[in-house]
Parts: sequence; structure tokens; C-alpha cells
Amino acid sequence: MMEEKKTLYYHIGHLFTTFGIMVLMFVIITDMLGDSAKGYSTLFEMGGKGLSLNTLLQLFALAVIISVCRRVLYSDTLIKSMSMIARNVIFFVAITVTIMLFVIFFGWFPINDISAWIGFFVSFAICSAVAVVLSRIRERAENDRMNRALEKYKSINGDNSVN
Amino acid sequence: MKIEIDIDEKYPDIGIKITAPSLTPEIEKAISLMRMMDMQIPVKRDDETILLDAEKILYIEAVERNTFVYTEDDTYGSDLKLYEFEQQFAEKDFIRISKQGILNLRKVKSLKTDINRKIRVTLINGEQIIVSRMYADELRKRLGIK
Repeated sequence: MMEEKKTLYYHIGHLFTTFGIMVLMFVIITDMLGDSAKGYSTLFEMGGKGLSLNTLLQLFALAVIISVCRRVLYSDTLIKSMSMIARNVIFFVAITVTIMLFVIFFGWFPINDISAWIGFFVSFAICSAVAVVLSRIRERAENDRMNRALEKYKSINGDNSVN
Repeated sequence: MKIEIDIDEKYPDIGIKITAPSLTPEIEKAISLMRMMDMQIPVKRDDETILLDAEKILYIEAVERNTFVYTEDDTYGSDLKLYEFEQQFAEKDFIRISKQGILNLRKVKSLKTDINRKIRVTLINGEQIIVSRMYADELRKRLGIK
């Protein structure tokens, strides 16, 4: 029961962290480009004055989808056996498709603007690659730390152990 | 049941003598627990009971009320429950890694973080087993990294 609560709080925490980072990024972009993007993108319908309630709700919906995808793909509750690379690929494809649908349905930018689509795909690919590389670096560091500790344990406990 | 304890300097070593009209499962279990103090475990294979040195154990697993002991070359059955192994081996190199398993840390080749904050253990024979999230932190603590 305790574990379930911890898991629930962990996922709610992750949802609001994702939402918070997205809002922060859009606040910065709005401050820099809001006025020029007004009329071009519904995300900046209030120009440089801030983010509208519609935009906040759309970003929250995106954060919910990202958190659900993360919960499904990065746990073994539903998918028991799948490589990390396959999980990463499915995760980023799912998020890309979701954003594309948001772009089309909510008019985040004109769907016939090829340069906007290219910009979206390039920036999303760079962000995804950075995220994967950072998580791999963190994972390797943790693995190294555990294996060093294991070797240390074996050498320290050598005389007092069963072996 | 009658228990006699005779402490005297004339005895060179600790000895335990069991007298009974027949060998019952309770007596076998008591013997198993005493053997474990010497780091030897009575295990079964093909209806034959063998005394296995604890140092040879890779891990111990409970599957549907049965306990299995794994070494590099063989798998044995045991009458002992997982918690009994855990109690006897707590101060040694053994650690609980899931509700079903106990691992001999000295038989671990490498450790790797796994999905959902679990740890994937590669044993010296190449076999891989998973430390559940619930016990992963305990393993880190044992290794002194938490």
C-alpha cells in the first residue's frame, strides 16, 4: 500500500514537473517572440502578454500524455520484456505523433508551413537525442558506481564471508 | 520432547546428539538449521540428500511453496523456507533480492540499473536475475552507496 502511494505521488510529481518545465519554456518564448508570433500560432494568441488558458490546458494535456506514455513504457507493469532502445523509440514516436495531432487540431502553427514542420522535427529530434544521451550517461555512471561498490564489498568482506 | 544440555570443559568441541525412534520431517528441519550454522545446507536431488557448502550457492529461489538452491552446475531442492535461509545467512554474503529470491553477493559478476528502478544482476555463470525495486535500495545500502 505504501509502495502504491509512493508510486502515485511519484507519477503526479513527474506530471507537474513536465508541465512546469513546458510552461516555463513557453513563458520565455512568449516573452521573446510572443508579439511576432501572435496571429501565426494559437499558442501565442495573447502575444507577449502571456499564455492563455487554452494554451495552458493544451500543454497540461500534453504533459498528461507524456506522463502516461512514460508510465506505460518505462515500467514493467504492462510491458514485461522490451529493450530500452525499443522503449525509447516507441516513446519518442508516440510523443511526436501526439504533438503532430496537437499542431493540426489546435493550430499550433499552419499545417501547410513546411519550414515550421522541419523546424519542429529538427528541434524535437535534437531534444530527444540529448535526453537519450544524458540518460545513458547517468545510467552508465550509476552502473559504474554499483560495480565499483561491489568489488569493494568483495575485497573488504573477503575474510569474513562464506567464500 | 526432552532437551538435555551438558556444558563441560571436557568436551573439545560443540556436539549435538539427537535421539529419536524415527527420522521425522521436524528432525530433518532441525538438522538443516543446525547445518546452516556451519554454512552447510542439506539439499535434495533425485531423492538423495547432499550437504552443500553455502559458498557454492549462486542464489536461492522460492517457487510455489518449494525452495530451490542454484549453484553453477546444478539445481537442488530444499525443505527450508526462504525466510529461514534469510535469517541464517543475514550476516553473511546473502541478501534478499525479491519476495522469491536470495542472492549470494560474492557470486555476482556485475550489476546494471534496470527499468523501474530495479537492478539486473549478472552472475558468474552468465545467468541474469532481477533485484526488485523494493529490495534494490537494500542492496545499494549493503554495498555502501546509499
